[in-house]
Amino acid sequence: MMGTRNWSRRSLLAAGAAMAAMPAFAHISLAAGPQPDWAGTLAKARGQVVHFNAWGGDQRINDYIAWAAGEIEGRAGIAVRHVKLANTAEAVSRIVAEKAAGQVAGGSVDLVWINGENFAALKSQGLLFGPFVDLLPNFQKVDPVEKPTTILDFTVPTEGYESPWGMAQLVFFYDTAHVAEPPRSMAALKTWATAHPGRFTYPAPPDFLGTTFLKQALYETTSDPTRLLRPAGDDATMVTEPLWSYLDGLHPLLWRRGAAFPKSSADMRQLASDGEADIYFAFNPGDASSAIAQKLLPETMRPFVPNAGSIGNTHFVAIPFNSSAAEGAMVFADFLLSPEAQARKENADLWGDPTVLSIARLNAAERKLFDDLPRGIATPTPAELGRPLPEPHASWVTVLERAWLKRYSA
Amino acid sequence: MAEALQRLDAHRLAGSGRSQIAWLALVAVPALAIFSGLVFVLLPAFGYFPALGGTSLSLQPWRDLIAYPGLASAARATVISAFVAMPIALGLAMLMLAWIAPSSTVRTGFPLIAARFLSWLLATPHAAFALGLAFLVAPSGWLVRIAALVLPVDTPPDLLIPRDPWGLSLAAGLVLKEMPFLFFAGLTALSQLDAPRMLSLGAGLGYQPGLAWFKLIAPRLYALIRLPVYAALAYALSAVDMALVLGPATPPTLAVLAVDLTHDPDLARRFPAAALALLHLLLTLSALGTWRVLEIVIARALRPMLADGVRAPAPAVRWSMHVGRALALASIVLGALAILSLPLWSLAAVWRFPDAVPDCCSLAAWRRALPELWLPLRDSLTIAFTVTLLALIGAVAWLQLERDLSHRMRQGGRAVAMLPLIVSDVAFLMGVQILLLGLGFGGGWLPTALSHALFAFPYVLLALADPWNRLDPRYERSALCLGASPWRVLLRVRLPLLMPALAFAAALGCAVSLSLYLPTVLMGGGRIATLATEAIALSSGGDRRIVGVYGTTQALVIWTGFFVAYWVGRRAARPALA
Repeated sequence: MMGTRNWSRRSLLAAGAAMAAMPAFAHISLAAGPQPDWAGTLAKARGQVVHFNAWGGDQRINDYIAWAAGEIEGRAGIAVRHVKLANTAEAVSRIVAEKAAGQVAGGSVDLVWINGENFAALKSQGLLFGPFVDLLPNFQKVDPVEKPTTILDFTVPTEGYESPWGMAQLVFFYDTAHVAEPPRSMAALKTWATAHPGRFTYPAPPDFLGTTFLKQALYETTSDPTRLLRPAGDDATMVTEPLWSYLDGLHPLLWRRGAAFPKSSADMRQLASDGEADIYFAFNPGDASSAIAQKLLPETMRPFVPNAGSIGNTHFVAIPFNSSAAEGAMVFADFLLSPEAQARKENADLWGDPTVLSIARLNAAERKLFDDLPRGIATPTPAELGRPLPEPHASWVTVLERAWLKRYSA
Repeated sequence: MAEALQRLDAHRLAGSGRSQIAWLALVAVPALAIFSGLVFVLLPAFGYFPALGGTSLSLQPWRDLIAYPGLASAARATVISAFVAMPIALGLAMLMLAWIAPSSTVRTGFPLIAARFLSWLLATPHAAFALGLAFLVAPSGWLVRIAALVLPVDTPPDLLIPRDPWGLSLAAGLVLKEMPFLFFAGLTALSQLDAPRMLSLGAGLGYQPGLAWFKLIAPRLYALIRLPVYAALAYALSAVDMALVLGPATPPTLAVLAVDLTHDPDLARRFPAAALALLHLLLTLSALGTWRVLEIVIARALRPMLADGVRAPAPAVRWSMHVGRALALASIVLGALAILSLPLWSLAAVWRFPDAVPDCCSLAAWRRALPELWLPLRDSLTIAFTVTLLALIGAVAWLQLERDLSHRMRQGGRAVAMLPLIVSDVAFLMGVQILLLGLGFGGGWLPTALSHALFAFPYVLLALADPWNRLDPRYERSALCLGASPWRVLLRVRLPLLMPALAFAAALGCAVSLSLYLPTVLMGGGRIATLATEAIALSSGGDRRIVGVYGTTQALVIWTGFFVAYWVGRRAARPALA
């Protein structure tokens, strides 16, 4: 059974950490390059309009971006426009299309919220501006050794082409009013769903959280999880087979018997809010706390993390090669990294997204910003969270998304 | 007097050649836009588009498209939703007409209230309406919450609505939105028929009034509203905003799937996307053809009934009339509740299942949304005003220039103007997008506004045409006799006299522009966010209070436009009557 599988979580983490070490080294040598003056960047940035293409599927995040846009307008004279995407792939598609059409300047995307396969796609095609991250003054407060995923995105080294914005880890939430003991593994989830049919679901891939659920289930069902850290190959069908047989069994027990799926994480949370589902999950450990603070969820929601650990990653902002406002985009990226902006982001009453900064690198005043934060009643403690499982290599995303579509969208 | 009339004739003769050319140039604008759009979707659909690496013709895009998971289900949901929705919407619209406005005048009392509700439904933008309806009919939605007042409901039933795989929830949304559209198209057309005389004739021959309407008026009326019916059918097949909210998701409808494919980071997917757009065009054309065949078959089948001489309806017919009326009433009530749910949500502090009403009232959602609301509001309004101005100028020029043309040419021109509403917008807009891409121009405010103008123009033209032609020609003749130049006559006599119609056409143009979703998404290049696109983008944002704010704002702006038009119309009417 899945509870007694023969891989240890420690070996997986060790493999992930080993992969993290190498590019970190490459990154340091890169930082030794010439340092143009930040004041010049600030001067050029003033008056620019930055079209920030960011997933717009969560109002709390939209509110946060609106706040940051207002701050940077007042402080640096940069007008940030939030272009709300349903899926980050839309922005990638536009950048790629602009490249194909020979539009090398004045592109429609100035800054994009990104990670994983979308970053890998843009980086491999040389469609990103940079490396710029080492030029950002606030990047000094990030410690890539403490948080390896700040420079290692789905095992792809960032090499200064994207600036970390927030930490994410998959966390499940359950309504204590309806669920006595939460299912802490994929096997237990199926047992629970058999007893409570129609009370759980997940967003349809290619929504990023839906895809993450597939990856988590793949980690817990496949025979050799360390295989996922290397690019997908000819053995992909064999590696993913246990996942599909698990899902084939789970789907009839899901909300709407698996014939329909929510569109996004927020859509799934809405189901929990409407009493249509008892368990949901998010990539933001503070999701339920901030949703409770904003009266989007009942106060009876509590977090749980799978026994096998859960996937964690970092999300970033990157500047396309043809950005019409690269300087403005850099200044805004730097502001998003500032202790003030990062602390506000971690505030569980507002967004609750953990910081990418290293607390050890902050001064006393900056540290206090984080000490004073409300953590929220439904946020897991660091001990409960544990050390996150590394993201599988970015190539698995396409494999999983295409196969899922083929199997379950007909 | 005679001299002036001679001058007028001479002017007309001299001007008619030139004006004919100018008119043809006007007609060419929509025709060319659609033609070039279709060409640029045709080429990539067969693999040719050098900017994207396609340098030779091939059938690969079609192979990729056919291999795409769920294509058949997507087509099925698209066809089912349109062909379920259209007959019901048309039937209900006809029933409503026979019921509350048999001779084109709406009597006071219940008919007037019903007509007001219908105009209100018509003026509500599709996106906002769909969002309201989705909340209304969901298993944890408002209807179940209201039912929970009397029934023991503690968990929502696990029913697959909205977004069912067959597209029936989408069909329901389309019925509620198309029924008022067809009702008002019919109401306008009714005034062209001599309905009161025909009805009294029928009554004189002993026909029961309802039956007389269906036997004497309905067949002629249908012939007059055929174009709006076709436009409604084409819309049902290509609606993206409503399908995103009410339609199935895995897979979605064809139109949504086409948009999804153009958003794929893999540019090779643009080729099957073009093939899909072309497929959508073929589907639309064959749907229109099927509808036409159905028209003929049904007309044949009904002919004996029309001429059977029966003057009182059989009990079964009478009963189905009652059922139809009940359905029509129910759809008005459903529509009203769907619209009402948006402002209610925007003012809710909390609204949990199974509470029938929210914990009211809080302006928090409005306060949170306002900083982000004003930019889409600005873009929506600047585009809507520009588009309306363009469409008004175009329509006035069109109507002025077509005066000397034959009836046939006029009808032909109107049909061309209507093309954007009938040809698959998915197909030709995607072609225009590919064309822009090939020109190295990603889209933005101007392409968005121009594409909006293409869709707003036919509505403005049709709204203006009837009052334009009905204006008593003696006003202008007198002005010409008094020595005014034709320009002066147009600006100082005709247009001021038509002020109520102009105001209404302007409000309609704004309403169309403010409602458009697909052209904004495809032509905006990610730079243009309007109230319609923002409301849809936020619909999966997990906070219905904010969705309520956007939907309410979108609807309020449009309603305000019509209210202003109504007010202008009343003010302008006074001096003319005095």
